[in-house]
Amino acid sequence: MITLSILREEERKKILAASFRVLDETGVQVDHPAIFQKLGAAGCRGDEEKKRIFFPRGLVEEKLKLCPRSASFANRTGDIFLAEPGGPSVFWTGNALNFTRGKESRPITERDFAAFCQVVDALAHIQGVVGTNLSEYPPETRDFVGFRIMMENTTKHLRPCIYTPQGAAVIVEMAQEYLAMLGKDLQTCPIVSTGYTIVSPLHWTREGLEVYAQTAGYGLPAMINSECISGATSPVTLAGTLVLANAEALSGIVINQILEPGRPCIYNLGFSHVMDMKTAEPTTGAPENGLLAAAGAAFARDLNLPSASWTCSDSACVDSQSAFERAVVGLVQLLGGANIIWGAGNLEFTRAISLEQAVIDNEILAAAHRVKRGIEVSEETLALDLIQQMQSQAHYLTSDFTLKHYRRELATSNLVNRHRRSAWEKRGAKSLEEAAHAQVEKILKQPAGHRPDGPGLEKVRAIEKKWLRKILG
Amino acid sequence: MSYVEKLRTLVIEGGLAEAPGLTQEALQAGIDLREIIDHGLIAAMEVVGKKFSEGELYIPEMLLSAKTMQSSLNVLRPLIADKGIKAKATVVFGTVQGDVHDIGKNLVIMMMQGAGFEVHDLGTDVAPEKFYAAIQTHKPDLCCMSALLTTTQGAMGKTIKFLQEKGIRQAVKIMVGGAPITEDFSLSIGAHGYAPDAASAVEKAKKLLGIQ
Repeated sequence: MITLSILREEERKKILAASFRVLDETGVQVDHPAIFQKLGAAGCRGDEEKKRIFFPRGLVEEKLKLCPRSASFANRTGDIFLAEPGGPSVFWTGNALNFTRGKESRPITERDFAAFCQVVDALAHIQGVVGTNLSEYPPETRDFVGFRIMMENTTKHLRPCIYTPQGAAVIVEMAQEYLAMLGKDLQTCPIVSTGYTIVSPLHWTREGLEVYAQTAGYGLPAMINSECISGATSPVTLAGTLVLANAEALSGIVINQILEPGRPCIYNLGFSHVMDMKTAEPTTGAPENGLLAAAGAAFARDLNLPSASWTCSDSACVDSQSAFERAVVGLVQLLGGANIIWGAGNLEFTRAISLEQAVIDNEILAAAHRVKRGIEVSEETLALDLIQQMQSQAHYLTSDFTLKHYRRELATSNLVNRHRRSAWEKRGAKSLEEAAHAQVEKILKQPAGHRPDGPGLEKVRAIEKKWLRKILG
Repeated sequence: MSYVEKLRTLVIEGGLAEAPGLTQEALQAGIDLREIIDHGLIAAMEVVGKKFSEGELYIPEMLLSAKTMQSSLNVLRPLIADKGIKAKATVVFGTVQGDVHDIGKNLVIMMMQGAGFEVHDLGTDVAPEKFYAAIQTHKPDLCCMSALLTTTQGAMGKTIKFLQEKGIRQAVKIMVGGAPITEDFSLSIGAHGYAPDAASAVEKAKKLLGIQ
């Protein structure tokens, strides 16, 4: 596997040393009184008036040792993905506000999100679905309603987007009940994971910390997200942003290890943006997004932790920009070694999702995975005997060797055009966007029986109804 | 080139170090205060704002121009008070209750100040009561609210309702903005205006207030 090295070891050490100084000397604002107290009891210095916690390096290093080096993510077909430093990468979708089709975009509805889950369920290179906004439900219910929609429409790993601490607790209840019907539990079958993002710079809100508190104690992997915006919430220099992002993520690690010693934590510096200095928008498809995420994955490897990132496009629709940004940034993040990469199907600075973009991303990811796998060199793959046997005859196509190796050596695609013009015209002369649209329509026409269902889902629906009644009256 | 023209050019080019001295010289030369402000400083920032919205200028350069303008205004401030010259508009501005994000708010405030608005920054996590108190204190023309999260955007409607209950809803124009905010949402909560991004916020505010 190819791993891209963004920073030299001595550069990473320098950055990390600066991060430890930020934690110890500048500190982090902690808005949760109970967690503030726990951090104080664990050995941090605190300034109650300013709600500031200062983390001694020794304490951070001690808590890092409690973190498992891997985290498990299960889907509902029985597969478990092990995220670990130096290990393989998977792609998930990303949360959003709007649903884009063509050049139009509208707030996401339940129906839109269900369709999105169904399409992603059919895409081999996207392994997890992330919850989104749902416009017809009140904000405080969108996380657990979204979780039910995900459960009904995909068997992939589920990462609900958490809007409130209560929502996190409801989702844990839903997942536990569902698994209990199958004789399983969250420890052994983590079909759901959670996480939260610090407000940069250096500010843990009460809500974020309460989400960690509500989901602690089940062995659920927690993603610790720093989401700096270089030039706005962090220094415009990427090195400076990494100093801050490391400090933020490390503070989240300490908090989670205090709440649940041994909790699997995913070290995520890869949600970082840079501010576009013309529009003031936080970019997601800029080259720097790739650099920051790849560097973040390298820090995670140094700390012996799994890593994550988010790749997206800033384009408002499915077009050449959305494809090239995903290809460049996604490839850099993948080669950088991020274990879980969000954003498949995302557009418009992560504000939108698109069915067609998800299909195109699936192809980009397949190609990117092929690049990452690199070139396998062995006595077998050198094919010296075959070359000597063929001499100057070009009969490789009919050889047994080709039949044996071509599927592994050559990436295939059902979407991109590899026909000559005449054949392409005969097949409808479809652009990539049109081919993706046709594939979306085909997936959505699959019979409803294909969708996941069962008695466990009835439990999930009942819990959803119970909480909707409680919250909405 | 006249003093006013020089000052205008200086602000456009971001000549921060020279601005106070040149402003002082203009005053000593007997240039009218209003002339300096309207045709020098504000005219410069209009050019800067136009260049920014057309993508010719980057934010750091725009902010440098705004700082240059402020450094000139600092020299003029005692005279402005003496002569009773008022700002183009007075604004109270805050991120709504439950939300601590403030990049967008801060950017729009700087742009508004550059356009000659007097802006009172209420900070983040601002309760409806605090918006009410600020409106009572500063008697603004415009009240701006910002939110980043879908879970906090509801606080905008609550704030407007609170102002309605206190009987001052119609005493001030209300403008909202932030990542999850849409035109439809702004109408549904009874805001007077909405700006989709920082670049268009000042123009929208001017339009709302009938300022040329």
